[in-house]
Amino acid sequence: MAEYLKPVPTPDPDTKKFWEYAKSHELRLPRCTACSLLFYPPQGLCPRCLGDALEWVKMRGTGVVYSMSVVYANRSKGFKDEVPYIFGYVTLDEDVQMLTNILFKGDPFQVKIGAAVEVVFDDATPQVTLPKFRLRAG
Amino acid sequence: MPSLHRSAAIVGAYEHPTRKSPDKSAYQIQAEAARGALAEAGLTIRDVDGFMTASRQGMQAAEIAEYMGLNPKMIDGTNLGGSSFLAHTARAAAAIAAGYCEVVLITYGETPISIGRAIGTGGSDRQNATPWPESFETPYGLIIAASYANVASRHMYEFGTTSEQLAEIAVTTRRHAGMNPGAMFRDPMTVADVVNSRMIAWPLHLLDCCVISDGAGALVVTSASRARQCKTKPVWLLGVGEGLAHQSAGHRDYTTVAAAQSSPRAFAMAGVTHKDIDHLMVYDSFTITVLTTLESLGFCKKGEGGAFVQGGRLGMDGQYPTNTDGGGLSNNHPGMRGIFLVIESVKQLRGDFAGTPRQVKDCKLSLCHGTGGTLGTRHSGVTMILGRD
Ligand SMILES: [Zn+2]
Repeated sequence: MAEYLKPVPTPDPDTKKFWEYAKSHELRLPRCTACSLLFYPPQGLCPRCLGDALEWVKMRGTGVVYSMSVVYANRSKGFKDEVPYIFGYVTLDEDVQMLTNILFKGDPFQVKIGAAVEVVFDDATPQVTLPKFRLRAG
Repeated sequence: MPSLHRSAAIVGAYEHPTRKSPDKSAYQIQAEAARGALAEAGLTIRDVDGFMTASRQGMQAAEIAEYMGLNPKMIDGTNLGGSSFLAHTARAAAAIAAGYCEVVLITYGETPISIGRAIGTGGSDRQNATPWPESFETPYGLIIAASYANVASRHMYEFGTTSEQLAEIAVTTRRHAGMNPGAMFRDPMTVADVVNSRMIAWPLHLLDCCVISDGAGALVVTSASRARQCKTKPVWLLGVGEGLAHQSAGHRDYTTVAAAQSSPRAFAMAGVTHKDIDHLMVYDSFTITVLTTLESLGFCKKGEGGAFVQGGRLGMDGQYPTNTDGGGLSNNHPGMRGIFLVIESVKQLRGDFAGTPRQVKDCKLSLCHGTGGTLGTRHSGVTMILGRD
């Protein structure tokens, strides 16, 4: 298998749980039990009230494209041969945005803002799995 | 109530002529810029008792101060990205008003061309650690241009903004660069040239993106009484405001930028309204930066930026001559160009270009707005309103 040259997330105390769930192909986001904010990216305490009692809520894994860019120029080793790729925000059905890749085959412009998408899990390395998205069938 | 309104004046503003500096270091070109800014005010490096700077190139404030032989009473390396130097000016005024120091030198200098550093399309390679929040960005191929492109695509989706409207910003700015003998790119271009240029990160084309240059600049800020003894006409800080926009935990409206927070603060302090402004300097890392900033500053309603920038409104004969030096889109952009916005505002207010097409007629009030960071993730915004006697 070719060497994985892209940056790999470093699970840390803020994010370890998120990456563990992702590795088992579950998309779970933290929600503050004090003020009920569901948030992304994950962190150890709530960015609204600074409460640290969090619950990890399983997302449906579906949403819509909020914004996107089709990237044609990236000089880094891991991405230069992958262009064009889509780098964009998805708004989950639970109403929280995630910066991600939206995968496609062929023409990138099949993907449009507002399009329905679903999560797919990219087992990037033996240690880390990245949640990404693709157009929802039908 | 204490206020920064008219608390300090800018008495020196110097843009280094270099755009490519293989033979002089980033330290040297900013020291040369410092020399230029001090000289026009009739000051020397020995008069400086406060020093502020920021860099992406790894130079620490203390190292740059050492290069210039400074042992100032105040040193500040606040780094907010491209807006840093507007924030420095505000903090300099606050320090001066408090009597903490009296002559503040602000410098900037970087040489991305000469050291071969990609900015907008650099991306990230695998590294030992990818900390929060980068863990959620670079593994997905974040490049700066793509982040801004997300704001552009969302603006197009919500408001019907077109690539041709964005291109008009680049075309107007290029026309202004044609009046600046020092600008990096001066040949006229058309909307068609922009929309037919190579796609970098859809919907942004190559000519929607700022240039990459080497460059340096310096400002000298001092008290009202000291300003009266200087050789230059003082340019007064009338109003300033800051703001910060980030991902808001996944609950963000990306077409509203930090200017929406900073602008009301600056206008309230200055005691003026939008229609009083004669000249604008709006950070132009990309065309979309200008469009969204104009909306969030309040020069037009949200969503109307596309139509607003058409019809020459930002040109020399338009309602708001904008980025009259040729901006980051055509003049220079070493990575954090906020200092050049302030320099051009100062020069327009002093009438430095009198008798040439670049001079904005009867320029009494200039607004400059710096954006630092990345529009599609997190960025600071600093709005500053400057005036003459
Ligand atoms: Zn909370």
